[in-house]
Amino acid sequence: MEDTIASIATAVGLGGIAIIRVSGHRAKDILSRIFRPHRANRAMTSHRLTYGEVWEGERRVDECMAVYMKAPHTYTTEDVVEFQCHGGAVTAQEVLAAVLRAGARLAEPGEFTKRAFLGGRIDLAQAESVMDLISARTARAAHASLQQMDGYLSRRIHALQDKLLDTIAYLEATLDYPDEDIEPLTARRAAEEARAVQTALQEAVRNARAGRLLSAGVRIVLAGSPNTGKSSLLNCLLREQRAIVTDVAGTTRDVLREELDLFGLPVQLSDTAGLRSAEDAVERIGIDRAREELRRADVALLVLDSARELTPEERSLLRETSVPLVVALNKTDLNARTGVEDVRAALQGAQAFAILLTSAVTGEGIEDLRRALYEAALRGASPEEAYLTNERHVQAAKDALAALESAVTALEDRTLDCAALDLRAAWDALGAITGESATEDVIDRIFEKFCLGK
Amino acid sequence: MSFTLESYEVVVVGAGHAGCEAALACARMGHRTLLLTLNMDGVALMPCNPSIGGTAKGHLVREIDALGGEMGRAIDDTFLQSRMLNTGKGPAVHSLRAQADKKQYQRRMLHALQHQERLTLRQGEVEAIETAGGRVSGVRTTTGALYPCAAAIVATGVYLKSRVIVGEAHADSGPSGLGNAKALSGALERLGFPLRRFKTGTPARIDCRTVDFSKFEEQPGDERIVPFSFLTDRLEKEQISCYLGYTTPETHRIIRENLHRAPLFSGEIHGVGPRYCPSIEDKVVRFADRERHPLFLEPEGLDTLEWYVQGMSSSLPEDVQWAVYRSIPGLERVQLTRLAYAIEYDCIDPTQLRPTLEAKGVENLYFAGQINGSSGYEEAAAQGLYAGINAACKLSGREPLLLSRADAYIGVLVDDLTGKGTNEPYRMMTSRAEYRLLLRQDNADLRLTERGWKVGLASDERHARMLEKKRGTDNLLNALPKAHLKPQDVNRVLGEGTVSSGISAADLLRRAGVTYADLRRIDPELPEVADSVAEQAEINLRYEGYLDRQRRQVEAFQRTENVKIPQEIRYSDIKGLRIEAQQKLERIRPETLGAAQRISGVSPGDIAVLMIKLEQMRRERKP
Repeated sequence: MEDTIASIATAVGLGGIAIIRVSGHRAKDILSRIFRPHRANRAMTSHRLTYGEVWEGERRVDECMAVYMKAPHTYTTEDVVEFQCHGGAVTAQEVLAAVLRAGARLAEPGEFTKRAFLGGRIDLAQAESVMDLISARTARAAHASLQQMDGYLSRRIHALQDKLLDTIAYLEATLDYPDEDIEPLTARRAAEEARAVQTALQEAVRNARAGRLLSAGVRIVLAGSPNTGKSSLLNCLLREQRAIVTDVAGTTRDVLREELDLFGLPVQLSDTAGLRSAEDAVERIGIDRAREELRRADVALLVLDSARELTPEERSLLRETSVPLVVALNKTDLNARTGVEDVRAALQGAQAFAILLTSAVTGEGIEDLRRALYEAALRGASPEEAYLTNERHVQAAKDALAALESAVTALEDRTLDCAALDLRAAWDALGAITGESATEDVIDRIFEKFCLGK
Repeated sequence: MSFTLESYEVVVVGAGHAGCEAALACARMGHRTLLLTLNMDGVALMPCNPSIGGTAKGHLVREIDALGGEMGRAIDDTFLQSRMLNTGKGPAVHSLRAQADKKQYQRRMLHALQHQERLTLRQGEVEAIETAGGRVSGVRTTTGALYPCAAAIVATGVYLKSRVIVGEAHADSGPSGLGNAKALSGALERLGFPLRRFKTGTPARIDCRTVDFSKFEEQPGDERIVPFSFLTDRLEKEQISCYLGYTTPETHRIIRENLHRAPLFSGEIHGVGPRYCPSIEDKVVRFADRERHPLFLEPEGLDTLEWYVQGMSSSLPEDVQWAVYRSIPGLERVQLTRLAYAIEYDCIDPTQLRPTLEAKGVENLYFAGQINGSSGYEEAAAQGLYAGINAACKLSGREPLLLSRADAYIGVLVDDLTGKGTNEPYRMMTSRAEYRLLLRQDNADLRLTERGWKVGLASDERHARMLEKKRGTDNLLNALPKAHLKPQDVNRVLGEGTVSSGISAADLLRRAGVTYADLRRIDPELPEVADSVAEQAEINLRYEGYLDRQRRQVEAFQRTENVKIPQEIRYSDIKGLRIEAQQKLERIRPETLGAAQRISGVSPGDIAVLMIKLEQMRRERKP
């Protein structure tokens, strides 16, 4: 069976609507996994647009239109599914990511056309127009690849590929030349080298996330019980008056969004309604939204009132927040009844990225808070080191990582032929970024490095 | 003075390893065949190393055997020592190698040729291939004999205008002091095959009575001998050891001081040599930091005192050779019986051949072996067999036997040569096979014997044996998941704590180090099977995940492989193809989309453009 492939079919970041195309025998299964039609229980009819939402687990990704087209009357002659979601780089990438996690693989450039051809599908007019498109694209692609050859991305990926090629060549040399005087520690050495590349790639993937944050922005959600001073703290961070601040608990009913610049990192800061078991129906809607916001956050900022004991809601939040958590023990200008140690104890083993003492009145700890939020958002990655810039590259890097993991296991089992297959898969995955092929390279490398042959 | 002798369906030119297999295949498949050799004493000559097999080459021999070729049975009959290499590195690279008694091997092959029905073996130098209307019509010898024939297979090895070089001295000669072929080169050029010069070399032979073997490390053969041929049940023989030694800094000093006299560096040698079979002077120059290089002493035969010095090929002048060999510990007083030499020869560009090894320009003319730019006995024999089978298929109007890269090492070999060409003598390596885990030496029969039998080459007995192994393997693979083993039984045999609960026999066999023999000790109810069947079950279960992955890769490969490119295509007219891709495709003219994809310099973008062009052509043809 062919793999099921997917990609964004429209120009990335342009236009109000983006189309994610999925082709292959698993397309319908993927659709049913992640798409919830607005009118539930309504079967998807072939070639009919249906309105609904893309969900990933319990997270709503976007609202969109979806169409299922049954084979063979489709572009590729396979089952095809298309999602029309909101345009803009981030949303389309998220829908694509959901599709990939549901079992598709990222399409190679031109792969839909290739399948259309192999299925005997494309008609003459279409063929010619696609051909024009491709030849137009080649000029641009040539220019782009020229730039890339010069660029940072290629250099970094090439460096990793080069290391892998050395390892592969070393391994192949010991496989094809068992009589030669090659150091016998090969398996262990090869495993070490594979791990080194793994480490570098892991960092690259982390940095890629940071890179995306740098352009797409970070979502930080403020949460906490009513009247802990969230809004004052927000104003402090923004350094200007925005939210309505009163002493009456529950004044912030809806979600307030603010743009903030954290050391060059664009941040969307959401202030939520205070989390408490509300009786008021309007307020309860606000609280539901707050929880939803928290789930989607990159970083959660939990504001606690140091002058009060921790409430059960606060304790449960401390234990359960799934995103990186920064805790601000606020109102230190008043008499403290809850300290850092109390918060630690309440975490019950869950991790907080930082616990800080703050006061919106005296300004204590505000700079530290800004720094902690920045670091929590990046999680140790450096956005300036982000050279994997698009989803295709990140996916390729992840494929390479999985192959390397498998290679290390095979090396430990001393099945070097299997390990070689994995290492080549890793090399190929990286080659999908730089666009090269392996076999001849390996053979050239073998003879460059080793004195072989009888 | 020219005169016409009896006619044949096939004439094979050259009786080396390629020619022997080609001629036997044609005759066995029912065609009257003439095998012409420059020298009756040079039939199946092993002018270089006294061994058959090795990594990837051993795979080739098993494939030749599985299809019904001769090499595997010949070496089983004449070996002196046998070893399975790489046993600790994974099943795909297990490789069989045997030391041969060179003279016995020649006699054994000669016997097969002489007793083959429909095959005539004769001495004679071929001067020209005659054609009529772009098709082979006959073969003419230098003594004027014309043999009318329908097909010809050229397997001239390293004999075309060959030149042997030892230092400043050189001679127009074939290997081992045999004569060379002078006339055919020009005739091939006139037929439209431009020639190139390749180079190879061989080390000195020594008198074993002048060797101090105590200074070498003994390398005995395997205790349990695995035969090459799937027809050989068991081999038992007293084996002869080989010996491992090393060069010294003194060796390297002598070589460096005399480099100005080395033909390789003085410009005397123009041919392109193989990287994988470098001369000792080449190794010393290219790997200057190495303090020693390994070398192996190997017997040339039972009834000779000559031994071979593997790893020490050279074209240095004679006086330097004496000093170099005698600088090796244990060879201080060695007597050289034959000098090391380099040999240059004419070969063609194999991209002028179709995937059947038939020439693109001349119908029914096939090329096989070193003339195609390959190196090695096994590579030659594989091509000879393949060309022979395909010539026979064509003469009897049958579909050709096409082996792809996913079918066999032979497929990789032929596809590399005809699809990409080669700029140096081509040696097979396991790393050239993308689907290496599937193309193992242990399953060559399962992969190929059915196809060899269908074209009428592999015997019924061979076919029946393969089917029995296949059935046995299928049955065992079916039974093992259903056989449940009790934890106490498993732990009794494999040690306490191996398992904590019951396990299926299949799952236990998946574990590293567990063999089917272990399973039978755990559960004596399990069937007794042949070793070859147990081996298949072990490999198929233990490497299941990897094998599945390779099968998926093969499926993807086959989809593009099945798309044929019409030969009337004009690449220069295709809008969107890059110039480099146009030129490469125009030169090689691949037969399938898959072959086009493998040409270096043709990008995925070019392939997309080509696919669309193909679709246009398809639609225009059926309006």
